[in-house]
Amino acid sequence: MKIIAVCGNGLGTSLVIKMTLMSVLKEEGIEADIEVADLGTAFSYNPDLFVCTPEMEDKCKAKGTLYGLVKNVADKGEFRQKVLPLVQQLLKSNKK
Amino acid sequence: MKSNTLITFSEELQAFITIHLDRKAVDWKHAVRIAGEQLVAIQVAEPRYIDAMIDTIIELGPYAVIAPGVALPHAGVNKGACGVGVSFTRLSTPVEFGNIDNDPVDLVIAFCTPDPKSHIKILERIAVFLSDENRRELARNAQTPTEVLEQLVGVPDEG
Repeated sequence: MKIIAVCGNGLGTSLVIKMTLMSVLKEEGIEADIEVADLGTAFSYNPDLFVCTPEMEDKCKAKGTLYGLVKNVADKGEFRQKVLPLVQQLLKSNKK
Repeated sequence: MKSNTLITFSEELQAFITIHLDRKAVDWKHAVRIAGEQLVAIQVAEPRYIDAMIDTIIELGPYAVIAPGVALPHAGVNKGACGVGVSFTRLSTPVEFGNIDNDPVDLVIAFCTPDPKSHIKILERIAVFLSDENRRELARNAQTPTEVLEQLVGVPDEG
């Protein structure tokens, strides 16, 4: 599974998103390939899932792609609530 | 008089860190400027980097406010960053960035990096700080910059 964390220039917020998500997925025993991207290059990836903050979603509309949106990018609880279900859903559909 | 300022270089994290406590900012731009000026002062960024951080927030919105009360302003690698630096500024009065979820902001952590990799180590530590409400509270109540430094980049507990 490929996940891209997106932010304005791919240096700060996206990296924190990646770290928080890695930590949550590790606790769940889920392996995933998580990379960071800036708004300009996010389109060139073809991930199963984008993760970003709500204001980034409007600016990064890669059509037909799944988005996980988090307001507090360091809050593992929020990632469990909003992103983990999407990852689990992807895992299920990939197995079929 | 006790010092409200600390400048240090972490060998382990290969980054300059500066901490300034209880600065007064009139608005968010001023707050970013205060934090950015410390990066310029320790020569890890050119003055234009400060404007680039402000422009990034104007352009992309207040997404730099990434945890309750905490902003992480930064700009791209080609905007005048010449080293890895983190500037932690605690404001005496919180300011609004326009982020409905995480305003108002009293902790501004500006950083710069000359390339997309060199800052990863220190940002991992900052991510721990951001994810830990207890650390943030200890930093808010700290009396000295040294106490803040421990919370900001201190080695995470095992487990």
